[in-house]
Amino acid sequence: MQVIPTIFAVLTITFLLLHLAPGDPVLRLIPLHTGVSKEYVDSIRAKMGLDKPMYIQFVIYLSNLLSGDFGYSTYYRLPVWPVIMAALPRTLLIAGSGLALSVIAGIPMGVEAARRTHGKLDYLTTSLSVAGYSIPVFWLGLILMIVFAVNLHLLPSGGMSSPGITLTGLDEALDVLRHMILPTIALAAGQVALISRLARASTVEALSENYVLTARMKGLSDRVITYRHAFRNAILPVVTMIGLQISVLISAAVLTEIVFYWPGVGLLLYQSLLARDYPMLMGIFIITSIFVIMSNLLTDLAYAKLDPRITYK
Amino acid sequence: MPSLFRVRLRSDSIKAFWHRYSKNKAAVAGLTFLIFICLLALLAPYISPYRLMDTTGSPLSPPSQIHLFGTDDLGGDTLTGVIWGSRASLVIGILTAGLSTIVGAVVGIIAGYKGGVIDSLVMRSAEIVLVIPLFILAVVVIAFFGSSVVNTVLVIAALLWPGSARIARAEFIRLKPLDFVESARSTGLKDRSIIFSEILPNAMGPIIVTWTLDVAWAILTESGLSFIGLGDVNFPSWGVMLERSMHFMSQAWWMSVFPGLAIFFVVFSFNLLGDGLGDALSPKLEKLEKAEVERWTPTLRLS
Amino acid sequence: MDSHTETLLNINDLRVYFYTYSGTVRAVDGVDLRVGDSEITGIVGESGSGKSTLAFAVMRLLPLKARIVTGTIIFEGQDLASLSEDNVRHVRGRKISMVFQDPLSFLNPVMKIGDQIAESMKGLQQQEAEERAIDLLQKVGIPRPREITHEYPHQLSGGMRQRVLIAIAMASNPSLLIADEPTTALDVTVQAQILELLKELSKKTKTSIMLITHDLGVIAETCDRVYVMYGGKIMEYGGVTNVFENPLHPYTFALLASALSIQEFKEDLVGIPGEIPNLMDPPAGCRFHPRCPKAKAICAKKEPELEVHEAGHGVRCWLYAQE
Repeated sequence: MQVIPTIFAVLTITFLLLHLAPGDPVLRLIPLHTGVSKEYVDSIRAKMGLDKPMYIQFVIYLSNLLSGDFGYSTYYRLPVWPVIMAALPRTLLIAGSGLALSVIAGIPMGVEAARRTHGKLDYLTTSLSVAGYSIPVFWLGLILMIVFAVNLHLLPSGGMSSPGITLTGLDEALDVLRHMILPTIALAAGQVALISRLARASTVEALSENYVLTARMKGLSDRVITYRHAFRNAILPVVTMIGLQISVLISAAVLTEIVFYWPGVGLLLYQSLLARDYPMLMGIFIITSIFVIMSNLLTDLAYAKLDPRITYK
Repeated sequence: MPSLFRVRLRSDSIKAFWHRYSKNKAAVAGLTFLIFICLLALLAPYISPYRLMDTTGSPLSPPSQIHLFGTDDLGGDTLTGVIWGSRASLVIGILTAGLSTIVGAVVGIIAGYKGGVIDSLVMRSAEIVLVIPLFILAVVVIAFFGSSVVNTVLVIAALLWPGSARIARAEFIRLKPLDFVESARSTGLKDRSIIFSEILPNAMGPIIVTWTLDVAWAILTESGLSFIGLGDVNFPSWGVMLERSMHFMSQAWWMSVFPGLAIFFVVFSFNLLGDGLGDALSPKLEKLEKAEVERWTPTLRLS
Repeated sequence: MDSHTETLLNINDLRVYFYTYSGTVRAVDGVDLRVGDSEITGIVGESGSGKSTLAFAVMRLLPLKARIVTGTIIFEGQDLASLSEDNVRHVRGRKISMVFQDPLSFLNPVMKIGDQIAESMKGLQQQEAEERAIDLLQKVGIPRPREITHEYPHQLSGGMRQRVLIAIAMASNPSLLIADEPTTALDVTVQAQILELLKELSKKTKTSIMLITHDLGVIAETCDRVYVMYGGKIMEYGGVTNVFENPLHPYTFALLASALSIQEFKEDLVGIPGEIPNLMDPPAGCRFHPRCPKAKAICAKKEPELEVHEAGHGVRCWLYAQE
């Protein structure tokens, strides 16, 4: 996977958006509602090199980014980078947990369904999984919220921590955990569906391979054959898919955060949208893209580790 | 244009296809539901109990005999909204997927045909598009260019094309070396005509399957964008309804449940349709059947 | 039956049928077979003769669509055909092992060689199992065995991989080794080495071998006795020297003629006209009669029995049977 060209493409897209969209680019970069001095506007214009030819502007733009200058949020009046980086871990908390949950639930479900094809577990898994990835994640979040928070009052209805109280240490962690439950489940639902479906298919495929016959010849038990022999081969396509799903997961997290008012990058995106905070919007796009690209790289490396036939260059 | 291996839609091949497709009950159910929804969308003005945008009841009242799905915050009937919303969601979904499929298929075939630099360029771009968090990009683009149906369709289509491009290219590569192409060439047909009259008809199967699954995805994405507030209020889809409903989560559960349920069933049906088509068209089903027949595994039934 | 050796494996009237969507395939249709102690017995036939199915049936490794319909497989006092799956697992991999045809696909690509061998050894400590694996690799003629245990199948050559499969099979000290076309997927030069290895191992460890092949040359090289299989049945059996010098059944004769014609670069290659029988709907009477140059009227009507012709040499053919 080509990391550099992809990042370059991301930056180019962002740049083009700023300059090709109707309207004056500068106006998008400055807070509009309070009066700003003409000098400030001119200084921004100069800094971006907006009076210079397009390609020079691009170079200036790139060099600004590389030096860590992602611009100034017109809403928060703060540099974009720190605001996003503060929110990102909170997004990763639910996204990561959602992914972990879906892997822990989905893989065994798929593998066991493969061992008993046409059995009850199999029909259950197959029919639920298509449904699972057909559910709009934000709607699922809404429903979960309505059922568990609003009506049953079992779980908190939004936010990352209970308002009004300051907790520390373990109490704080538990509080966050309680707030995490619903968004994590909402995120996991769609992923479980995909993962269990693929796990099932690739396990069935692996179990029909010849080396399984050799394993049977050795007199190994059912479970050993499935989990030691077939599983190690069946897991490979699943790892690949998880890599592909990371960008989908981030997008799903955005929607989920809005429903649950979870203070991550998604909520930030939403607020920036409402406030027409263009520097923040662009910054979020760039940073989340880079994050996804890096995760994909990690996944590729993990795959290379798992499959001894692949060497990573 | 003479063709030496035209794919003919003979009645018996359609019958055979239907026979295979109908083995999958879920797929048939999906198809049935979609036909129902399409009818609903077409006949919206005649079927909906009230006129769209009319306030006909007291705001935020729960489902009752006169308002089967309850009313929204302005007193409009939710059922009416859901019925009319099918138009927006379906049209946007089908158009978007159609656009991306056509563009993607063309690009994919050109890549497969030309090979070399053009091919790697296309494949690299496809990879890049697939890596980028699509939803976030869509949000940002629409934020810059304004929210309208056209923009929504264009943005989502621009993000979906790699799927059909890859499939089209793979099909092209698979079909190119086959005999009928060679014979077509030997009769002096130009490459371009061969592509359109010989190869494309045979590649249609997987492309149509991709289109179906893309419609599902497009509807989901459009709902998501509308939910964020980037939908077109003049052409309200179910996602737009859900955006409103979020503010009244604790007071009117029916505002959230029904539009979302509609999205779910339509997307579910398209996915089932796509899966069913894929199974009925491709030999993969036979491969899986073969894996079942020749499976040596212990499982729980043995000889 | 050669009365000099004890019988290790005794198969009696074995029938294995495959139940498929298009019909029932009678892959093995009444086979009687004996493998003696410390003996190498060959089963030769074309593809589709049922010989591989026979081997898998003994190992109880038949696919889901196949069933042992009737017959017994007596091994060390037990009838393998009627044992439960749990009980079979005690025999399989311990007393009886199998070596398969294609060493690449029959080895797990993501597991180390050492681990795959150690699996066949039950109840040993990690360290011990490793040492034994290295020892085994050496016995099957693999150079640098200690390093190889840490490598993966794709890093080895075809011949080496087959040796690994043999090591895996020998790891549990089986009394019977079934080899299903062990050399077919290998280069000609390597084939001879593998066959030598099998012969050597059999002699050293007193392991009997049931060798399945379509190649008469392999039989001539390695086996003490041979069974000729056609259309799911045994057509002829006997000591290798006897059968090769004095082939009774026309099919055996044809096989030999064709093999020799290839070997001696004769001008006209001799083949056997016709096709192998459809095992879903086999020909009436003798299964070979449609292709037999010596077929008589009775051959199309009634099936001959497998009868002893002379000491240890039996044949199923109307040319010899008393009618």
